[in-house]
Amino acid sequence: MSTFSKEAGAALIEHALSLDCIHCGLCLHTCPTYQLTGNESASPRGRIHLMRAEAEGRIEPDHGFEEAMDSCLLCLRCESVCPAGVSFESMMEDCRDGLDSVRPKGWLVRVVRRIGFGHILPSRRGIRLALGALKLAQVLGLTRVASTLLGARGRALGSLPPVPPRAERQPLNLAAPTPGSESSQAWLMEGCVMPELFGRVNRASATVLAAAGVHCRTHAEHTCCGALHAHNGDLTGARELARSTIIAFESSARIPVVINSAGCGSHMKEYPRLFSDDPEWLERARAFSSRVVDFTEFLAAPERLNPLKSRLGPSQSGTLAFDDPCHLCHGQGVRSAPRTLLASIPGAEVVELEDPEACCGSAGIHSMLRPEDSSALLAEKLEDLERSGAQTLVTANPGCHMQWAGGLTQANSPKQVQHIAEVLAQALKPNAS
Amino acid sequence: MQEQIVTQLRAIVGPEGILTDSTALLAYESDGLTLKRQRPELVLLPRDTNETAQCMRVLHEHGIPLVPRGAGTGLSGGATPVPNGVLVGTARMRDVLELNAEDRFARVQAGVVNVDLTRCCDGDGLFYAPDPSSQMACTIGGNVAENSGGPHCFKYGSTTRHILGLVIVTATGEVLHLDEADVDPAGFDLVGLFVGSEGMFGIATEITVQLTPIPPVTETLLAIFKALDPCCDAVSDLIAARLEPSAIEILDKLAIQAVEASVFAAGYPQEAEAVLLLEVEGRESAVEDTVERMLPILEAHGLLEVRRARDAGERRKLWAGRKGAFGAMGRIAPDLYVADVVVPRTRLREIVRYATDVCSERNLKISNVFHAGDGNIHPNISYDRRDEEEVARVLEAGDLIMETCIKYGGSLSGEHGVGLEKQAMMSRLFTPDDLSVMERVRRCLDPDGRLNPGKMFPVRSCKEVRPQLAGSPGEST
Amino acid sequence: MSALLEALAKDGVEGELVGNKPMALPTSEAQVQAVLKRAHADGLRVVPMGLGSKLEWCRPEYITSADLLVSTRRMDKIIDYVPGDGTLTAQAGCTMTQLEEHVLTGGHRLTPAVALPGRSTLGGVLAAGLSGPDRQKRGPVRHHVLGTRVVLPDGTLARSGGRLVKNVTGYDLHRLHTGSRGTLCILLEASLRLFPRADDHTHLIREEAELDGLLARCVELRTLECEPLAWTLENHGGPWRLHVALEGRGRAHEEDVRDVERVLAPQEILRGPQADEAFDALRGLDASGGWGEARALTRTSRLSAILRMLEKEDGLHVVAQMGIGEVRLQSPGLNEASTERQIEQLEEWRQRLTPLGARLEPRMVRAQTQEDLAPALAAQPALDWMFRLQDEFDPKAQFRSPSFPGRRA
Repeated sequence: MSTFSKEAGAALIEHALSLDCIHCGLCLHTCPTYQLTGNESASPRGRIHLMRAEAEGRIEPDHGFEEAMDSCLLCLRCESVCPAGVSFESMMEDCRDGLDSVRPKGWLVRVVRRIGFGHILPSRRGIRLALGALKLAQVLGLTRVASTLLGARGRALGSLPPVPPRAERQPLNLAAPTPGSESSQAWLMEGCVMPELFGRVNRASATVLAAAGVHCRTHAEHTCCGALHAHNGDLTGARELARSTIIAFESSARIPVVINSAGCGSHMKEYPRLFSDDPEWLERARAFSSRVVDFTEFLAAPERLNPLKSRLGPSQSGTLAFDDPCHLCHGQGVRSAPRTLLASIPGAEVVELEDPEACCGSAGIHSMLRPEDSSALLAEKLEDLERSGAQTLVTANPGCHMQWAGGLTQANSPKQVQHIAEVLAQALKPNAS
Repeated sequence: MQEQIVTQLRAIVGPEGILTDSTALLAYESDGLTLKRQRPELVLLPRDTNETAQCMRVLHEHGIPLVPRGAGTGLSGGATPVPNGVLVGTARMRDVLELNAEDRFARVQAGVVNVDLTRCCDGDGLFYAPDPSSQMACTIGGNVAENSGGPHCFKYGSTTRHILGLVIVTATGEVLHLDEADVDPAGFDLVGLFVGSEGMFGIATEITVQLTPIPPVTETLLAIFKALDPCCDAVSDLIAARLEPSAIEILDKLAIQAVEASVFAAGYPQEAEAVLLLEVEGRESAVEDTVERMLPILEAHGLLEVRRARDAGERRKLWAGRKGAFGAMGRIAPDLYVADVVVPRTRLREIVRYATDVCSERNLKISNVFHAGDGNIHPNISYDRRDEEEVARVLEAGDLIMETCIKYGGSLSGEHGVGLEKQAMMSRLFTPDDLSVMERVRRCLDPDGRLNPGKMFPVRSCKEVRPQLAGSPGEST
Repeated sequence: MSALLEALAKDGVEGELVGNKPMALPTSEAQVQAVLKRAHADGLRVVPMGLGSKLEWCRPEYITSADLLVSTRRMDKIIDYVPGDGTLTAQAGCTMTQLEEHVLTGGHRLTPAVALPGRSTLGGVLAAGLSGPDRQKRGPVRHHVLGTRVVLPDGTLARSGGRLVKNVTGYDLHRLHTGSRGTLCILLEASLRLFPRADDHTHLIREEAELDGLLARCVELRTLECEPLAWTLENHGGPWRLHVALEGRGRAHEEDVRDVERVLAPQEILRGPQADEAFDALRGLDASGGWGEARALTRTSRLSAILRMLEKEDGLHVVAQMGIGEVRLQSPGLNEASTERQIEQLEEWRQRLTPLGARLEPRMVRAQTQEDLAPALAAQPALDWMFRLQDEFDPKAQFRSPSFPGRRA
């Protein structure tokens, strides 16, 4: 039994927030962890009930409490079905942040937090070093060794995609255009891990945006938006990164910030929540968040979709199925845009998964912290994909991308995973000019 | 709970099938009725009939009371734990065991969610008709226990009309097979008796349900009214004209506003005092005919506008708004008291008016969203449980509404069940003899009174009849 | 025996002798209670009845072994018919004809459409759990009983349900009473859901010497959009006849008729009053005209095989409800046959029907036949619960119905 040092009377969450929940239970069936376990303390209603009980001083945040909160994937599917509009995400973030200050953590969490969140993600150099090391380990076969040593928890390590050669791990370095109309400009946020592991997705995004008549620019220094920090109980770290993100893109106040990673986009759209007690930053956060737009959402607008359509040739990816990243459909409410885009590819055969809005189990670092749960969720998704007959699974989020790729590799499946930007880029006809 | 019993049970259901952590158990302290709370000693989540039977035998052996639970979405406290009691949940019994499209039935485990049943058979042109508003989450087992209703019960009838067979685990852990999908019961209608018995006769682990062909054409009408009273009168007149839509629902202004503020916003006009949601099914010409005959009746009662939806997406939206209405009340106040009274359909306006007046006299916020076609009204009273004085006013209003319904020839519950919520009122509706006969039936099937004890029957009469009955109703807050 | 009638007369209850059996004819709930309290105190064996038409299901021992018949036929008041609510509440002794005519004034119909409505009381119909051909559309009567008032063998009067079309307050004991065949209680009063009487009625009939052609048409009929009021395939010696009764209104009804006509290619299409007559005739088929009947209960998909098997039987009358899965086997010679012969015949049917997935339920045979066959036919795990309920309601085993559901040995 670990000990807890919680200030007497200080609740983890604001009690008033929990009152929105009327205990109707409509969320239960959509919750992946409830589906897995049948345990109501691993359901959104149960978790809120426990948070509320804690805030009322009826229970202490003990191990059972921690377990209930930690097991949540924060997939936000519950928010999509909640008639009362409970802000589950912010409650859970507050709760985890509060828990963080009162509890001792397991070694893995400590390592991930201190090194990963504190040093790697916030700096381009840190990320490059880490990924360089991973590349070396992969070449030497060390990841396989480590993954064996770590047991189930190492599975995620083993299923990481191979780090691409150094040449492919370059940021885009797209500069601002020479003075002209700002309306066709956009920031393309490259992200932290994306340029290293998914440089091709960023390149594809830029190519497609260009084909749609958008001049893209990227930020040389900026890396992490802080989404992982916020989800995993480090609101302080999340606020710091939010401030630096806002600052990085503040100079060009009218240019939209396009995000091709749904998890990051969802978080950045919610930046104001981080600064509810800080009027100055709240204002700046609002201004920034209003410019944040998902890659698919941005492209599906007619002024970009129409020029893009004229450039699209036959699909190169076989039968496609789009799997809604949780933070795109539940987090941002973006559902039709990616489908509109796929349908614009001439002759593309697009099929629907039976349950495209179910979580694949990636959920940020969840796949690393709770590998069994994560695998169980992925297994159902893989079956769904199999039944759909699609050859290419299309996603719009790097976490999901890795999760699917890992699952397909392990299953020796001939199917592939592509970011929607890659699918579109491959379908582009060579420019006539 | 003795460690030895826990060990015995764990051996049956496996480590994932038993919850003992006191914090985790707190998540089970109430169902959709949050006024009453009681933490269970233990939660068991067996995976099939056999595991359930083994668990029940152990509990029987040790004389431990228990409460069956599906998804815990019920609104009468039927799944609220009892003191020193165990919860037996069906959350891990979610398999569809058999789907027979030709003979139109399915055999499912009790934990299958209502909406999943319809999903699994819609490819065969069939659906499962009873559609409680919680159908997104509630289980068939729970529906059986409470004889659940829903909007479409107006045409298709409550759960009981759709249950063909059951596998029941009894209080002593025996397994009773009543599961041949048969035309008529061979002997007494035990299936019909079991449905609606609120978890007091046993645990249904496998359920054979009747499936219904999807009608060729379905049209949903949203009729907008100037005021609630004439809207109610319009419904009484529709019934009296013997028209046969498949659902007749009313939402009043406050309910409309709550829904429109939610993720289920359905495009109900927020300025309307009341809307009537009507569904008409059948062949094209029959739908046309019914709609044509309905419109003059609606117009005679101050209809402002009618919107017709045939497109599946539009209809889904209109219904999602209706079905999310209860949860959407969370926007009005933290807690909600949902009455579930029924009156003859000739008395709709009177009872709705009475409920509204009773609440406004007590300065309570009331919204109405109900199954008008069945005379089943849900005055929803929003409150904050931290305000004890307000809680008292809510309960008083609830009692007055129930009493008035009884006076009108009505009843306490149309679909939510009695449970903990309305047990005190039972002696107003039934004579001591009526209740004692029900208790005698119960005693036949659960001689020790260990299944969901302390529910349905008024506490006083309960104690008189069975002083040794385990447990008493959940603690009040 | 008339001493008993005299004693009852002191309680104000009239009665008469039927053959040598005293029959109490109470006119009020209190009188029924008084009769049963006396019978309970004296340990009399009681046969509850209406007009007695269903006593033939297990004659004659059923009656000969009884001490007292109690008929509710004089309790024939209609308590409440609410046209605006579509509900009817009536005393058990009302005849179905009386009720049907009464609700027709408000444009309603009653289910079930039984064979002999003038000779059947509401109490008897519910206790027997009878169906009529309209079950195809309406479903079994147990779905439409909204509430009951009953007297238990010890004289306790109890109510269940109510007069409301939707109600879940308390246990659904009225579901237990419906179809309990006089073994648990005497029904005093019941409330029923009513149905609108449709404007237009059409009855279509196709006749063929061979069964196969009609079965093929049935397969196609099943795929149609319309919901027939009745859908019956019957043979009473000679050709097979397939009936489809439709009800509805205006254009939709005409389209239903047209669809059925296309599939059925009927020789007869009867409309209006003629259709009503044809439907009444169809109801009448349910009356076997005597003893010697059994019901085979099955899934609808198994009906074809069962009917093909029965087609080869000589002299058997068959009435099959095609959308329900019920086949009545009427063997005219069987009614007068000895117990041994009846058992032999029923056993033969059972052995041939069981492999085809049907359950056999004997009716209108000797009580001794029922009793002897019970172990084979009623072997079911739920018997224990049924016995417990019987013991609880009727601890002295006063209400004897040898056919149903049996009695703990």
